[in-house]
Amino acid sequence: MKKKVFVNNLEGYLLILPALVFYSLFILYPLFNVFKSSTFKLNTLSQQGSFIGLLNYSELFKDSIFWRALLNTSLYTVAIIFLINFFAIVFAVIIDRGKIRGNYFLRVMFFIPSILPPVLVGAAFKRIFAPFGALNMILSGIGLSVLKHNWLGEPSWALLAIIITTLWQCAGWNMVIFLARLKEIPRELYEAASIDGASEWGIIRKIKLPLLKEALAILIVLNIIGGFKVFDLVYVMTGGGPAHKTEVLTSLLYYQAFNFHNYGYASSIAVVMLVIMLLFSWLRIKGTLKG
Amino acid sequence: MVKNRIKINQDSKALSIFEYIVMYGWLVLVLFPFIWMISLSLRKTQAVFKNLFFQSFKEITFENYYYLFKGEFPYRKIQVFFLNALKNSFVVTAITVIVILIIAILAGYAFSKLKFFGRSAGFYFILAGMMVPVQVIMLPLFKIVKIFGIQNTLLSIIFPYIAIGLPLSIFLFTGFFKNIPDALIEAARIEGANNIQILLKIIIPLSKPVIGANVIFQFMFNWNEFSLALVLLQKANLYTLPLEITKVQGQYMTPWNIFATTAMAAIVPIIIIYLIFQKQFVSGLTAGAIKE
Repeated sequence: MKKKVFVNNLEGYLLILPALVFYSLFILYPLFNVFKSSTFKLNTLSQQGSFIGLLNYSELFKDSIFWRALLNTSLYTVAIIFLINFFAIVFAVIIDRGKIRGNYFLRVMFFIPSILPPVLVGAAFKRIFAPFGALNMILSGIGLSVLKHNWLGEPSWALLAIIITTLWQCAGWNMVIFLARLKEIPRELYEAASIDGASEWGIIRKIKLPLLKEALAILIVLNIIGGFKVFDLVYVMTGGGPAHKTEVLTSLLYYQAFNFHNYGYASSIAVVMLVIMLLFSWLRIKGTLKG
Repeated sequence: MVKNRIKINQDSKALSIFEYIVMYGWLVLVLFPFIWMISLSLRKTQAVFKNLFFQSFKEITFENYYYLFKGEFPYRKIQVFFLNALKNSFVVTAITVIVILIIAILAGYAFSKLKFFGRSAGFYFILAGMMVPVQVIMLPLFKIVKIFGIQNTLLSIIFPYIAIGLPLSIFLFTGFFKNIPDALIEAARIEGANNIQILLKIIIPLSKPVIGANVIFQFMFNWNEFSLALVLLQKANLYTLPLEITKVQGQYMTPWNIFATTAMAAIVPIIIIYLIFQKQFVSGLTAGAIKE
């Protein structure tokens, strides 16, 4: 009897061993390492630097660019949460009602942007928002030349342009998840409501929207995590500029490491990011357990 | 009563006009970048800034696509290693997805069907890896691939990609395998089947949907991944598609028609795969989000 348990033990360990090896070498070890690096002054990645304790962190918290990056990341995240989910819910409700032609086609098309590489989307939108780009051409074409801007070059527009690009890419993805939730609602519920005299709008407001709350909560947390990780779009569209107006945590980390060779300092940004992510992931898990 | 019905009808009509405007308006916005990029890719460099779209069919030229596959554009001798990047992306994605599937199926089976000490602790331990953003570990990874001597090879991103993809796949497989009745496995065991035979003969044939979802999900993530590739791939001949696109678009004064040609050619494979498998795509890409 005892032997059997042992054999089972051994086989279990053997089967998870490959996963553990990859996980330890390429996730766990780097995690410990980044904590360690954040307490060193490192100007090359291969050599040992000098131990400086928490100096990187005290520098970081005094750095106005870090706070600007944190602010931009938060602004970006809040904006995409509101915009993406607002549009996604509107689209999902309309498709679910099934009252307009081409429903299926619309759903397939709306999802396409979410399968594209973000760098490609960013590079294309960089040209749409460029001084001689599509948006300005359209504005002059319809006689609104006064509204023309160097969208990615002007501090007040650049972050908004990146937010719009994210909305373009991600609305369809969230829509599909809301749609899956709406499909679970039994149709009899609508019939019963309309017999009781509820209007179409009343059914949407009183039955459909409340049922999307749970999905919305999950998507908000996913959008927060995604928002704090944003890098590709910023890197290709603005590189963090102009004047750090689109600098986000990831771009700051990248430029500190690979342009300025402050690897220790960059590691302390990574640790701050990790803490923020763990906080949100914890919220997600807590939300899941509740729901 | 009649009055009421008329009101409902009017409501309904107003609502559906609104619906048409919203949905087809967004469709135009979704399609516009594609149509514009295609129109750029079919024009000569001098014609790019003249008009939004080409004015007559006489302006259309396919030479950009010819140069793209040749690898060099005559304007300022701009080189685009498109086919090479396509090959690199394909190699990286194929190896990564296959290895993730194998490792995650083995681990998922162990976590769902075998009893061993530390099983649930190990499961949550690996699951925690889902919370780690790539950017947090990218600096140490740069060092580690050097230690392993795999820098300047595609393995330098394949190994990290495998590790990063595993937690979600293990999570999905474990959840799915748990729903396969134990009685099936017990019956096979009594007939003398070992764990590997059980996996191959019973578990995997029953798991097609979850395997499909994982393939799509991991394929998409690795095909589109940019930040790690940017840090770890230093040599131009190793660039994956996202890196090659970034290189092309970032080069000083790259004409837009060259960028557009590269971009449009790069998305053709993925759009075709999506249109064929779009049901699986949607379930695969949303698996991580709703299967909580």
